[in-house]
Amino acid sequence: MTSRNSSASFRWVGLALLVMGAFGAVFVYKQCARTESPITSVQSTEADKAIAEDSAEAVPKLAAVAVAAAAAAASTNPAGVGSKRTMATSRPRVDWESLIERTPEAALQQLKGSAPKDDAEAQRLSVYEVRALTKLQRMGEARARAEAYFERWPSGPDIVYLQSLTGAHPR
Amino acid sequence: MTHATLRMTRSIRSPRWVALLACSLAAACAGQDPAGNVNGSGGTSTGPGTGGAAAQAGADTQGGAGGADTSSTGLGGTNAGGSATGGAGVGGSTGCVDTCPFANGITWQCKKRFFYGLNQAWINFAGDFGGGTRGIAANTSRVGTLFQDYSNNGASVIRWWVWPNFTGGGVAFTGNSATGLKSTTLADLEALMKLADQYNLHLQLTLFSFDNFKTTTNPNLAAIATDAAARAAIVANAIRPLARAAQASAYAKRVISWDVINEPEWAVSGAGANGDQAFTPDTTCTTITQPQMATLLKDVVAGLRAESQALITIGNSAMKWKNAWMAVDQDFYTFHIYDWVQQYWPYNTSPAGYGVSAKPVVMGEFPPAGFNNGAITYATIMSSWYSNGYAGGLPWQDSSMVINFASFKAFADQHPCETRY
Repeated sequence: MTSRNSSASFRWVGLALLVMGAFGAVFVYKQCARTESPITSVQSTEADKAIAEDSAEAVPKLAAVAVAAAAAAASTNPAGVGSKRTMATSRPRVDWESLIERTPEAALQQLKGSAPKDDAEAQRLSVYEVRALTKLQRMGEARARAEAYFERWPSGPDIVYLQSLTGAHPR
Repeated sequence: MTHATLRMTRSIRSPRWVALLACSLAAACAGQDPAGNVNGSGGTSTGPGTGGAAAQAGADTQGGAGGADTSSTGLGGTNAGGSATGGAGVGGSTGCVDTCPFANGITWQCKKRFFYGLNQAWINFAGDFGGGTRGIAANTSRVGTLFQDYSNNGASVIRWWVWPNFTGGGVAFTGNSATGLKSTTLADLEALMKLADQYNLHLQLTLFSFDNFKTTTNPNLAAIATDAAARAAIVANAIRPLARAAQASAYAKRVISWDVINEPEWAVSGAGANGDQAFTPDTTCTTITQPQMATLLKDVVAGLRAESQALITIGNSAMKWKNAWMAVDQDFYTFHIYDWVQQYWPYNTSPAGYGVSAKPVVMGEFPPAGFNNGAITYATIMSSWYSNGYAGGLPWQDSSMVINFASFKAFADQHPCETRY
């Protein structure tokens, strides 16, 4: 009788430890996740949601998050630095960031054929063109485009970015 | 979803994993640029004057630079063979003693130092030398204020452009043939040297730029470079008189080096030299071939050597074309690096790793805020170069690209003797 009681107690204690351990593991995991390299807030929030779901769904969701984040970044800050404008356009938005990364030649062709609706968009597309040319290591052309930017927009928000990227400087 | 799966999914999209994957891919693709061309980084250098054994000798040939008295200076040996016995800090014939030689540094006036300073480049583009009221002599107060600031923040060398094109009026021409210096050119030179002396700075004077090849500029250096008579004329009637005046100045020791041309690669088309990738010229430049550019540079260097004891270098735009001017007589190599370069020819590979250890290597331009939008900081870059075989670093700056002088000074303060001539 005593030994049966004691064995039951042990089982309860074991179960309790198991539950505590599980909670502990979840807590430790979350702490680890928090201390990983910083990523953008949009990516982090959405990605955290995706990771909490089944792996079968998580991967495509993460990809979508990345595209959305890139699009969000592109719409507000094409160059990644300097720019403060926001682009509001009713036309279908091209994800230039991704396009340049994946197929810079195609992006370049598309950029060359694009008709910017206003000066701000022309400015933004000009930066993407420099980026596509840089990605292709066609640096002479990239720099010539950067120089054209400096001349056309001497106070443009992307001047420092273009200088850092290409080494071309306003004269 | 198990914990392990969770963790793996989480980890795979973490930046660290992405970086690792990128590194693996980069390693797998080593030797190729994005276009699939073979790049020269890390390869065996076949250019003249390179080679590990000659490296120190090449660097030390400057060890013989004379004493502080400019009238008696003389490089102990600028010959490529490196027969001089300069050694770390011991100045050849004058027997001077260097108190804090920097092992990989550039020797000038018996001081072997980490070549530390910045680009001022110009106050009035193409007008600083010979521009009359736009010239330095007419703007000494402004330049003096800048120099005081630079000196107070630990700069020792200032890179300044002379004739990035000929529109400023400093050189007289008949057609493409230079006939002499004119306007305020020599007064501007003297004023700049005097200010450098006043604030204990040294000047790296950059004679030309790829801008001299812009299709819109006239006279165009492309036409001069490809015409033997015009080439001889500019050397005889512009370069040599300028160098002669600098050498004759009471402040001669303030011109530490001549940078023959800023980023000539942007005005060169065709195949690269000795295994380098093909050039990708600026589409707004009239281009010449690499041998034609090399001929121009050699002629200019010969003119400088004839008149001046200052050191000589060429402002190469990128390690991508590291072999382009190896055959031109230089005392040290200069390369520029911006993000487009850093991506494939990273800052933290040593000169030896790039096969350019025959002579000291100075990084003559780079973004003052660091690489990748500041992810790689100024302090990290300078610290890396200082400890990784480089001879110096000069950040770029202009009205929009500004130097953080706290960071700039912090580096100088860490090495107060080794960074100051």
